[in-house]
Amino acid sequence: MKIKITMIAAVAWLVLGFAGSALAATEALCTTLGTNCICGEPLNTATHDGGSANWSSPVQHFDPDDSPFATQCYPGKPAENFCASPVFGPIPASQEAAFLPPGHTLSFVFQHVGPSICHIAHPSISEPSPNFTYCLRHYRRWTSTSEWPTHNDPVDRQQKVTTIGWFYPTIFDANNIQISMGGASIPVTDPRGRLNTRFDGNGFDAPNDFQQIGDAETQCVNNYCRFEVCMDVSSAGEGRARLRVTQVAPGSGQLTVHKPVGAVLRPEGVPDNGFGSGPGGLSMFASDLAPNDRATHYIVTRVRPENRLFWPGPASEVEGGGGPTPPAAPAGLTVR
Amino acid sequence: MRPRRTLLILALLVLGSTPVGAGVLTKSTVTVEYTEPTTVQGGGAITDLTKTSIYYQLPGAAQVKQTDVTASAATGGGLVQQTFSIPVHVRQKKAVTFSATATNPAGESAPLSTVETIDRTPEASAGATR
Repeated sequence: MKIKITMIAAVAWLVLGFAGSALAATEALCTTLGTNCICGEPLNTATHDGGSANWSSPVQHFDPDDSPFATQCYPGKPAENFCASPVFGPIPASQEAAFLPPGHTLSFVFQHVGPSICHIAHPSISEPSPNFTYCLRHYRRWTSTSEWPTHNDPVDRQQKVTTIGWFYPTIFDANNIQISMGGASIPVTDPRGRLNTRFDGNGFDAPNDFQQIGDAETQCVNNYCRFEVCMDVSSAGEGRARLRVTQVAPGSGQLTVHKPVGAVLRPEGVPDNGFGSGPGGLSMFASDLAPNDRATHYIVTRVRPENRLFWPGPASEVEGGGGPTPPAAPAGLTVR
Repeated sequence: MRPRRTLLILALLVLGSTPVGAGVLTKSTVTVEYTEPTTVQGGGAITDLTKTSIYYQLPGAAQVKQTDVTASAATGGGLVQQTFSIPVHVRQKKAVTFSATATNPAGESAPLSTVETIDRTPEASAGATR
């Protein structure tokens, strides 16, 4: 009798326990994009590495259970998610109900508190020919108790938000398309939650340009913000960067920054030279700063040919509106 | 009298196929241009665009589908240019509504429309500026 109960329990554990992982799926957009989805980490799970619910230190490498092997970022490698911050892990989405769109279907979002290295990488870019558009997207919210950078700060408190990063053409040439907060001392004329943008490095040698793309403290506290960054490489090898921040419901508003085109052509594309991607991806890294933020639905996409109008756009799991949707209308109709 | 008529015909031939101003065309052959959508309704990225379609409608007549254009990519963004003739004959002047739509397996988009006057009266052709 005891053996029978044990067997039933074992079968139940196998069926129910594994089903929890097996049923977990990446976001619908990644499935729809097919091979144009490089990877996705929905961050909508309570467990990692096959059922572990322990997200506390000293565990720092995590493989969340809701990203299938085929579409997870850095499959099989321990650094898919590296977080050394004091707090990192899931909290029930119900705790965030006031800040999420009414149509969301989330069970969990990820909480991040405190300084230190913390990011979910994107794979090394491997595009050995030009004429493509490469994008990242995730959602982020800071709490009202989050620490913010300081005006004219000698310590240069800062936090990264999202980065397309690569070393190119040599290991000494770091390239960044990035949104960050703080860093350079913020003049009192700017908000302390100033979101900075950059597109620099020898890869395309774009002119220095650090345009602001909003203020996290006033725009991304009472609602989630959708952060999107895209690199456009034309058929001739020109490099461009676009960055967009969208306040999703219950907020509203959108800011977009287009960077000047780089001076260097890369007709060879951006091949994987084995140097890795650098600390790119969904960046939570904070230096001398103790942020208190939330993240969900990170995706990496690549479409060919280059499409300077393409953005990953909303995750239906976050913003609602799942199911088949007709296209938007064409644009720019002229008759001559 | 005859040389004057010849000059008028020459003027029609030289100038008659060019626009005389915003929204006024003096020829029956038109080129429609637009960009394919890159999003679905509501703002998400489109990943299954199949085609766009061009329509025109003459006053008092039913809308005519001129052509379907296969999508440049499933993610849209391509520039579409199509040249075709509209049945507005010499000495006629008509306001024509041109529309473009996009289609994926979920359905057809709302139309994007513009109204252009095609003026093929001799006066319009004579007044063409280039």
